[in-house]
Amino acid sequence: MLKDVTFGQYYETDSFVHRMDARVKLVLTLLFMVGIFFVQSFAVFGFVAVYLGIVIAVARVPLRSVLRSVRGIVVFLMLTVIINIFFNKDGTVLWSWRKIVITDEGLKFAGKMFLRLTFLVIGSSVLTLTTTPVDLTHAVESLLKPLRVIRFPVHEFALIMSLTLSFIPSLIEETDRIIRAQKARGADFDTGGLVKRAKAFVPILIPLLVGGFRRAEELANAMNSRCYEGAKKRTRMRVMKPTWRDLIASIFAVVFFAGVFTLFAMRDSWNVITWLYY
Amino acid sequence: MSRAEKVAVPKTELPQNVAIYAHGLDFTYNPKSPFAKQALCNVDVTIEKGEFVAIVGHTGSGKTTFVQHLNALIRVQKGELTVLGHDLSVRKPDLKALRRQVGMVFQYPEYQLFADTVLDDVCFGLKNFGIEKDKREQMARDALELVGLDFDSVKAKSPFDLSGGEKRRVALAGVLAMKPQILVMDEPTAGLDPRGKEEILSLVSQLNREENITVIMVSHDMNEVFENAKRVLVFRDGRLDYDLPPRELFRKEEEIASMNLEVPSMAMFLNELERSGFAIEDDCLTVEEVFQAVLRLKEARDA
Ligand SMILES: Nc1ncnc2c1ncn2[C@@H]1O[C@H](COP(=O)(O)OP(=O)(O)OP(=O)(O)O)[C@@H](O)[C@H]1O
Ligand SMILES: [Mg+2]
Repeated sequence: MLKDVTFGQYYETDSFVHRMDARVKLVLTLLFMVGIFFVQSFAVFGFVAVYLGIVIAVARVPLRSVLRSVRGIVVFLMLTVIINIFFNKDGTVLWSWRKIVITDEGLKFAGKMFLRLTFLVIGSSVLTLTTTPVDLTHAVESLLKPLRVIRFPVHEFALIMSLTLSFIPSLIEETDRIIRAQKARGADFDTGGLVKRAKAFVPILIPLLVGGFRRAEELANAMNSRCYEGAKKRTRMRVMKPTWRDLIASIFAVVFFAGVFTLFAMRDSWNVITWLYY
Repeated sequence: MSRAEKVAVPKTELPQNVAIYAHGLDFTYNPKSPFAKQALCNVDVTIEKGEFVAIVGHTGSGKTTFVQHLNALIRVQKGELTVLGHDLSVRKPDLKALRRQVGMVFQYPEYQLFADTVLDDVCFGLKNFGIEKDKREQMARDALELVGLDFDSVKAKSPFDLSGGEKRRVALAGVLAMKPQILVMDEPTAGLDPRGKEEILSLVSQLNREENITVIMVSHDMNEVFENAKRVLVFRDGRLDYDLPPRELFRKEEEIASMNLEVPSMAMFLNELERSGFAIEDDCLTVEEVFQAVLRLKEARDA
């Protein structure tokens, strides 16, 4: 049950994207996330879909696991779409009933919102599918390094991040176990009103919290006994180095998004491409 | 009875004294996914009321998966399973009634404690099963005293202020308070000191003997299995490989070793005696029993 939650959903295989430098992947993903907000027409969304398709193919991750990440936000997606359809009253009215009005602009807007959010999630899931959480935190640490100038504790921040990530699977397992243990004592999580259901979680949350503190303390002791002392003079076993792969991928992505940004900037001035936008 | 001799009993004809009946039980974790993992494979077993059964096997052999089926924490995927007359292969068995009758003590049960006071924690199950308020305290008192804690001095304490061994007793009391007919325990003595182990085991044996509670105990400690269980089920890779009384099982020293299990020291001693021509009755398992048997042998020889 709870195990089905895919979080650190790294998909183990060997591909061009898997071998890329995590920092480059992270930056390109951020570029993608920003870029997607500059896409304003269905035609350009088509290009983005092709771009994503190429990336997924090169990353050799199964489409199923990519789509699974969308499943997680399905409710949120539906809600956004519905709200946008009903509250956008621009354009010509297609259908109305009492106070509910559906317009063509509203439909278009909702459709674009849907595509934007879906692509956003798919794009970021490619990053997490091809990068281990460990590499990802290293990438964050490395990218945040300049902040050390203003005395931001970059190393500690990255450590907190990686500890959080590494605790998640065991926390899920622990939750599963505690739920079973309380069920065996007759706990009932599926019936009753809101208050009763909320109360039913107390017997899960408290052991979970207590267990969390216990683990944290054990880990702190384990680190102390191995003489961990923060960022001082620490070296990495695996040093990240950008290679020709990262260069190629960056050129590909930058060219693509330069195109997207150009189209966005010229949306009013160039007739040929207005169809792309309306 | 070996596995081959066993015949399928249709559910409707299960005799009254059968506590657990499993036939062709299969279970796969995460079915139809790349992470699919078959944890149980064609398990057939019948356990009668009042038996003391130990379940052993190498780590990952499916012991926990099997025992969690017994109170429907894991639902039957394939095969038949009937526990105290509840057919668990149907879609909606009466979970409340079942779980009240089948008490389950998890591995490290102390990590499930949550309430402000020991009394509240022990009463949690009682409350869930709808026992009236004025009866609960008496039942909690009985259970806490049964596990060897002084009710008046612990009842108002926070369960988190107790020692590890005491916590485990409180957790055990929380299950025993419901007066289950079947007591399922997943490694109840793991991580306890020898004295704590001994106390838990003798309590469980006593419940089995005096209250006729059916006991199913998963254990990695072959010595405690040998001394306490009347029947041992050995799991290997999800299959039930052996189903024998302890003495018979641990005569098979080579098979036991091939399954990465230990032979209990007493069994080794008895096997050695047997090889040198001193046969000792199969029901002598504890130090005391074997000692008496050896004395008898000595007297017989002297006479
Ligand atoms: N929640 C789960 N999801 C996926 N696989 C699981 C899960 N729980 C157990 N398994 C797998 O099923 C198999 C049987 O597990 P089980 O917990 O029943 O073993 P066990 O005999 O109790 O082992 P141990 O002695 O270590 O407690 C193992 O290979 C395990 O990896
Ligand atoms: Mg287990």
